[in-house]
Amino acid sequence: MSGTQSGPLEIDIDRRVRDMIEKSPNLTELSESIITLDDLWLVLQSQAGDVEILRGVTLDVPYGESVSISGPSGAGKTSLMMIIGGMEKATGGRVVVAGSPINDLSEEELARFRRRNVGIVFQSFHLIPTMTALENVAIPLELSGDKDAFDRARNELAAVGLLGRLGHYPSQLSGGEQQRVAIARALIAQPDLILADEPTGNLDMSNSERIMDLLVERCADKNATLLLITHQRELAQRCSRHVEMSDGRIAGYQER
Amino acid sequence: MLVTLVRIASRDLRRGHRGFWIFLSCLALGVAAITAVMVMSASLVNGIAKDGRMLLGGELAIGQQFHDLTDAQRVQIGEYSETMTRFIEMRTLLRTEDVRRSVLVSLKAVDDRYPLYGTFDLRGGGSLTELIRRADDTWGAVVDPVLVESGRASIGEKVIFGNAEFTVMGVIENEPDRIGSTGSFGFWPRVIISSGAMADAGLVVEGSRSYFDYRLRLKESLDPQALVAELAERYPLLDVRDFTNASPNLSEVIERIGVLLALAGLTTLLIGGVGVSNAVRAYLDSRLSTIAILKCVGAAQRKVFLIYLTQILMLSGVGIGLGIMIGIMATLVSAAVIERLYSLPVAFSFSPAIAVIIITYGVLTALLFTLWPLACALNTKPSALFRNMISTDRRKASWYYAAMSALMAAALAAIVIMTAYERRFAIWFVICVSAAWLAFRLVGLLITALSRQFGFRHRPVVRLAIANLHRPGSATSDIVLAIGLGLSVLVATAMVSANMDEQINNLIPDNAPTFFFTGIQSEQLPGFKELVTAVDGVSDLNILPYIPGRISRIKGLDPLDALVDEDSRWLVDDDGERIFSYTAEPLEDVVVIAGDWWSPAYAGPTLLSVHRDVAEGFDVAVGDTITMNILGREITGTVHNIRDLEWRSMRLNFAIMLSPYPLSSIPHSNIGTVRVPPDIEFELQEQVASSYTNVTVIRIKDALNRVSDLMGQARSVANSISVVTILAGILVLAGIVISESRRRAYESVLLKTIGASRRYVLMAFSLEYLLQGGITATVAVVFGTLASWAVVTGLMGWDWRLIALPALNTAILGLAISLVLGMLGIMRALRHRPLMYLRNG
Repeated sequence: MSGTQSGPLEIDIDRRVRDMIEKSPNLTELSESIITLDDLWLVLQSQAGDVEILRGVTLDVPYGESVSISGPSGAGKTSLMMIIGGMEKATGGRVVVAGSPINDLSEEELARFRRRNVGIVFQSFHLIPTMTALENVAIPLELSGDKDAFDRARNELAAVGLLGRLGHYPSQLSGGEQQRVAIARALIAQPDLILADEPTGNLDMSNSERIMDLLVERCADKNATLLLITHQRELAQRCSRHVEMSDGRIAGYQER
Repeated sequence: MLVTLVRIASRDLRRGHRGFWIFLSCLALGVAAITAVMVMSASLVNGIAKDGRMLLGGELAIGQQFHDLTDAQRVQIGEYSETMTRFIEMRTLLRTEDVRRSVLVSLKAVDDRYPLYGTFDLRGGGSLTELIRRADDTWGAVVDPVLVESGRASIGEKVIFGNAEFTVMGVIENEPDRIGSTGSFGFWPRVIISSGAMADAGLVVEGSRSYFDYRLRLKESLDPQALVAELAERYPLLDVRDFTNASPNLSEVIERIGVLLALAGLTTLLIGGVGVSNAVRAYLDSRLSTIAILKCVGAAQRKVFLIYLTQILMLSGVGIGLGIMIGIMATLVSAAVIERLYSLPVAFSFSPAIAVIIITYGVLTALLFTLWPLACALNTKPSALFRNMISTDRRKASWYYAAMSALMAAALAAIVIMTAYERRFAIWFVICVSAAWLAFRLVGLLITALSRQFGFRHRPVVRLAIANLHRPGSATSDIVLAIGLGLSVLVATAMVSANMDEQINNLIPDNAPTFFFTGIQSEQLPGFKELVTAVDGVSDLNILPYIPGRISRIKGLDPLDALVDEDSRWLVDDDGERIFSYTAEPLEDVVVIAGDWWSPAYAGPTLLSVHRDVAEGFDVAVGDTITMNILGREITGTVHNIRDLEWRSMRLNFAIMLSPYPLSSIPHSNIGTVRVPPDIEFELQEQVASSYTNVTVIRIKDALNRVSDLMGQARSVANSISVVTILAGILVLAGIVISESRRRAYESVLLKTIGASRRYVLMAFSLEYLLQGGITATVAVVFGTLASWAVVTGLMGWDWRLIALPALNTAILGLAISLVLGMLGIMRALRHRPLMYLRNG
């Protein structure tokens, strides 16, 4: 990171530094990378013996980049995403996300970390069935105590083209619409990082393309980094970098 | 933030409340039971306090047994009163032409001013004074409806009291001061005559057990309570009460029964708690993905906990509110019945204190049973959403929540004990419920563990049924607990009832007397003995002096200070009046435990023979002194022997017997017992009653029938409570069956897919419920039987006998409940279309 650069980058870096100071509870590191993984290991214990899920993954993702991850089943893609999102703890190595060494955070700090830094989009949408589209989107802000939660949620839903569906419950929405709501929810707290796990896995091809367009576009609008797991090559190609995983390791990179 | 959490909680609840009817029913049923009992108890006490003047029959009551007030006393109280009425109460035999219809009644002779307060109502109307006056040389009498309904008397019939003939002129509809009656006069059917008739009948003679009562309407300037204190000090032998204390015994009985029933209600609430717990678990299982989502979007565990705790509290509020409403409605309905059947005044009372206690019970129970499942659900990891691995398996929560649950249980126990009328009993209740709870939990775990050991490799139906008892998430343990506790209460109630019946039926030992005769004057003794022994078949005539008095000091101490065993308090509490007797000869059929009898010729200072209850209750040994106040005279005696005789032998048995000096010189009456073959019972009764009109003839069987009637009423209350308890168990089971129906439907679809017939599926699931129900019923029979043993021997102090039939009936009922509800669940499961499950898993 350099503070001597001029122009838009300087402004951008200043904003990031301010954001990092504001958002990261245990800020220990400042860098240009939103994700820094260093020799990451995840070993689970089972009755049959230890199972190595991740085996020394090292990865660096700069702010604003979009990265797609592919690989066969059991390669460790989702586990990697869970660790980055602070939902699983690595058993070895270093994980720094948005300046926070998240492996060292408590449950409470991890919750705050997710609230401020991470938005997640799932394959199965995972909307709260008892809440309307508007309420589903507003909830991250409500949990942060934001008084404008519903106004901002309305704007966010408008941005994904669902202004006419504010009062609809998930069961009253199509798959594509549900995923739009999920994208709005993931982005509403202006996180630096969006984790998307097969976001189009439950959608047909035309819907998949529209959702992917929307996701990339909204991430760009919000200047958020996108980490995308997908099996679909066409969708992976929308990202600036591609990571291939196999057997718990990174098998290759591809810059675009 | 709290407002936000409440908002999120209510939003989530808005469309997720389905399936909560079990939660609400279980909580509402328990709360309703407690509310009904507490509100009814308070309303009765309130009614008694509010209608004090009417119930007492005046603002002030003054009276005494055996003797009327002196002229000086009458003049004195006359100065206090604006109006005064006097009546005499006594137990005597109502005789009819058919001697077999003669019956012991509580006779009350009133003057023209009766009643000072309230109205005396007769069935079909009419004036009491008019109906009981003398007309055509015969006095009138009005009688208790019970006497007419039981065929002992009828309108227009001639009946005899003492030497006088009466015509039954009316049936009592409402006697306003019946509840304020002295002593046990309220126990027997009432007959009311006029004071003049009483004098004509010649029933009141020296030594007869008559009660002379005065009721006063006081002059306005007088303070009743101050007057009670003043009169009690001036005339210590008189019983003086004011209207604020119209029926102290009744109020106490109501409060005691109220606490007992409230504890039964609490048991219902606790059983319902299992249903609450299951309902919350099922609900939270359906909310696991929402919990994970909330965590994913950054909600800390504490916030998620608060959101769902808020939901539980909101639902508990609805359940408790519903329960209170149902309880109050039940009170209002039963109040009308109680007022009509028992002539008890019910003044509806639902005080803030009662509301606070009920709400606290409800909230603590809800929290006690929901904190743990809530804490377990909170352990759901947000990462589970990535793999759609939201699991309904039971998860273990932190010790912190276990400690919080324990704190709730302790708070509940503390409130039970603090609000109980008798703390000792409440402590035992808490211990027993906790023990039963633990025991049923252990039995549940044992069944689960044992069922793992049985394979039944060659009988797949049996294997499947047994495997379902211990599979992950099996509700066996909860079913055993809820149904087991409910059935245990039912078995215990049935066994206690059966033992009570048995006791009453066998209460009369073979060698027990047939009749008690009270009020035999000393000068009547020779003639009385001659008359009784002249009847063929009469045996064991036993007569002893009968002298009322009070125990005033024991070993030089106030009797209450000397009391060491609460079971003996009856000897010195209430009005403190006891009956003493004396004998020169050693009593027959008694066992002397310590010391010996005085010689028949002994004429020295008073010696005492005391019953073992006195010795143990007041730590009295041979050589200790006891002082008695007999007719105003202090007599101190030295304990010479301690004897034992079973009270239930029904033989003449006094707590304290004295040597003859100086009691023999005091005017007194006598009490006698006699055994008579059944065929000449009524002949002897008629002969004694017609020849000695002042003598009260009590047939033991009549007294026991009356006791049996009263016990029957107590039994029906106990039965209703146990029915409510088992209802709570049924609700819990219904909740479990419903919450399991999806799993069962899925299993049945899978079984059918791999070739199992509908009959096979039905058999496997039915066998599972049969096993659960059978084991639970068996364990409940064991626990209920043990509980009945503890109640009968410990609380009632009676012998206990194993009576198999009620236990067997209850076991069958348990099996039937389990099987029927289970089958309903299975039928529901089998109705589902396989396609739906196979597509969605």
